[in-house]
Amino acid sequence: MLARHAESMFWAGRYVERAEDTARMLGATLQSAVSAGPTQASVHLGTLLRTLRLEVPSGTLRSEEILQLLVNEPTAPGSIVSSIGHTRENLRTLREQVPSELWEQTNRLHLRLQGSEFNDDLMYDPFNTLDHIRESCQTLSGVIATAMSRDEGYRFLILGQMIERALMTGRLVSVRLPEMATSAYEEMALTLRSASALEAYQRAFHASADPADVVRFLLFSERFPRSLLFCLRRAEAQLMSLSDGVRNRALRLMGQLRSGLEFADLEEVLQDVIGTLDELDGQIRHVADVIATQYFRAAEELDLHSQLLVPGVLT
Amino acid sequence: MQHVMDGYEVGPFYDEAFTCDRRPRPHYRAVAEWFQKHDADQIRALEIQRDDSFRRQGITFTVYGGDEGTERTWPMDLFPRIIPPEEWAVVERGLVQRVTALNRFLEDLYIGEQAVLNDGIVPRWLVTSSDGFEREAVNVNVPHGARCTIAGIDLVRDDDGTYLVLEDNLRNPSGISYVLENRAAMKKLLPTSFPQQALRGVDHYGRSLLRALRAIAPPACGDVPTVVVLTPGIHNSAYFEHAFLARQMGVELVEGRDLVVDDHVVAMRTTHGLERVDVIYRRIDDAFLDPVTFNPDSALGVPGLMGAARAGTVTVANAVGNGVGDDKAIYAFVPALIKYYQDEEPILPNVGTYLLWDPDERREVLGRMDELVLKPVGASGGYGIVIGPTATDAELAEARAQIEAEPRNWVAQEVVQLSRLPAWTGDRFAGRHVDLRPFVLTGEHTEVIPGGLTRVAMREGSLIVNSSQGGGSKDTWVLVGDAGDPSGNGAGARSAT
Repeated sequence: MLARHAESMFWAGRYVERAEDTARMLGATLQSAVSAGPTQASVHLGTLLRTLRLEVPSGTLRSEEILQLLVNEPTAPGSIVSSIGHTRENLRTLREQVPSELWEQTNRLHLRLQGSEFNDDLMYDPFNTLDHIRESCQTLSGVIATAMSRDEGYRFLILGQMIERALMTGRLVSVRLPEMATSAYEEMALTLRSASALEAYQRAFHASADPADVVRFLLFSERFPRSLLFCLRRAEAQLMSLSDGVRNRALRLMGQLRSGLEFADLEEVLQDVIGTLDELDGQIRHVADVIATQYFRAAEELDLHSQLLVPGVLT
Repeated sequence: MQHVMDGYEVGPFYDEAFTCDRRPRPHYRAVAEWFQKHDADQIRALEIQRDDSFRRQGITFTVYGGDEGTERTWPMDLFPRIIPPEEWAVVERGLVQRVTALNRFLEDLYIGEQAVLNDGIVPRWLVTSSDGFEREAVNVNVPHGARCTIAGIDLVRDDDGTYLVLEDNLRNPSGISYVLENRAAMKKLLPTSFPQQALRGVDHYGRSLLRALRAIAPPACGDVPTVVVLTPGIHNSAYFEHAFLARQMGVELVEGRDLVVDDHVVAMRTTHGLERVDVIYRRIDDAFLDPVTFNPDSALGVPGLMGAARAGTVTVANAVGNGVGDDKAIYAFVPALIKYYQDEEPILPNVGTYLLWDPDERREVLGRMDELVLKPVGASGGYGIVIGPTATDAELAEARAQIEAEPRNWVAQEVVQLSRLPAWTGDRFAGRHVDLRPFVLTGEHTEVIPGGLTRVAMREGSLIVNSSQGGGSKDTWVLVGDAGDPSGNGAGARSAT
């Protein structure tokens, strides 16, 4: 497929994932504020901003402001309106490549976010509004799963989604760890809810209140689709089918990353969770760069050559 | 109950749906009766459904001007245009005849010996002074001489209902995506109570287009030529159509930056390196196509593309230089071209046209400008047109100054009182003027897509149908004849008994 289209697919995947994650984490954080008291609520909002790699303003953080910033601020990078706007822009250039339901569903969500009633809905009924956004993103994933051919475009879309999700889960754990270390179950529940993982965790670990179990679950679960290992495996599988059997650099790096995590010594990881996660974060970003060079700029070496055709040089 | 056709006036025009004593014409009877039974609320409900559906699918177009370019949903009127088979058969023959002549003319100019100029049918200076004539295109071959692979011929009907050719569009005619979307929308919208009639299909357009484009691939390329659609990009007002056509054909939609020319071979950048391209359906104007040959500032085009086209390793469709064929001064010669190349009488007449470089014709036109339509020869999309009867004195004075300065660049035409059809005005149907743009494809053969894009001037009395200027559209139905092709895909229309 066209390199430019592959890149748009990859980014559409990343933006959809980011919008869904932001809606889910924000909903969980705001709900926790209802019972956490203003001081702790402000701390929660701060950890949320850090998970999303955003600057944390000084002073007490207020729910309405953060809600506005993360959902409806078009200039804020990573706000839901801007993520969905970017998803739509990327898919718009891909309309002829993707099922029309995918475009229509994205467009419908975009129009709702741009609509005149949206801000009122968000302010008066934030939980339902965030749920609606999350559900719309999940509908998109459903369309991708049920209506898209497993072609190259699909692979790049899922690859982008998995890389974004892996980065998000990694940062969530690393940012939330100090709060969870207090062993308050509410703090762990918030972390797990932020990853839609509470129920799955309770089944797997019988509601253990040990933060190490939460780390174990969110990093190493082989079954839970938002765990770091699960995301890296799925990303690796996409690179595998894209590579046509050739072990190229992106696939090699992703394979090393995944097996490094898969066969890591849990005790060692638990001794320095934050350090380990920081390193993984950097490595995942590096693989993303390698994917870009390898697939999105595969024909770049010819650019130099085509420069020769500029008038004056040729004649 | 107030019905939506109550008080409908035919007026002093040719109404395609009603006779002058306000009885529905036979082919409109069932549809008119259906509408007659409904009230405004029922029609409004359908309108809302239609707008929602278009908005959701992103079927919009960009309106420039005002504060910013705004996206509007595509305006499709619910009352369809209906063309009986025997009527369409004549139009179809006329279109094939006309496009064939135009293709031969362009082939003669760019590849042949310019016999048409040597024989004095068209003045040589008129061709060489045309902005659309590109010397760069001389000797650039197109297999089968299909230089207008995609043509859009604008037709109007005068007050007798006679079809006339208003202008030819041989460069980048747009609108076909709306033909297909209108039909799809009507199928979804109209309730089962709507009269059911057998219509010639339009959905095969993508296949027909791909077949035509493959037919003009360089002879040396492989069995299945690689076709791409080249778009200026997402900000172009017709981007929706570019993406639509690429999807309908199942081919890549590329931008200039996706293509490279290496040693006169065009290739696209893919995830696995470079892949060769054989046919480019470009939706970029000549001037922006290749910065080496044309506008050096163009960032939209592909450096070296014309060199590759000249070397015959790639075919560019529509061919470069077609603008001379739809120059409005050349238009006046098309009936003569049909006689010259095919030795036939033109089936579809032109609108009476005055050529303003001729001193006698100019004098006559300048004496009665307020009765005529004045058109710049190179423009399309309705830009620059001055309609004498409604123009202000200042507008007429400015047009006069421009005509006197550059008479070659203007033509004048008699005002045609375009035919009318019922169109929705918010609370009832009223007569509005319409035109018709059928699409004609040429590869190995020439084929007309049944119907075309009907455009409607939504303002009362207005003759301006361009969607950029508030025009609407209608689904256009060509009925299947009694002996007609039930698949609706056949090339030739047949007459009904």
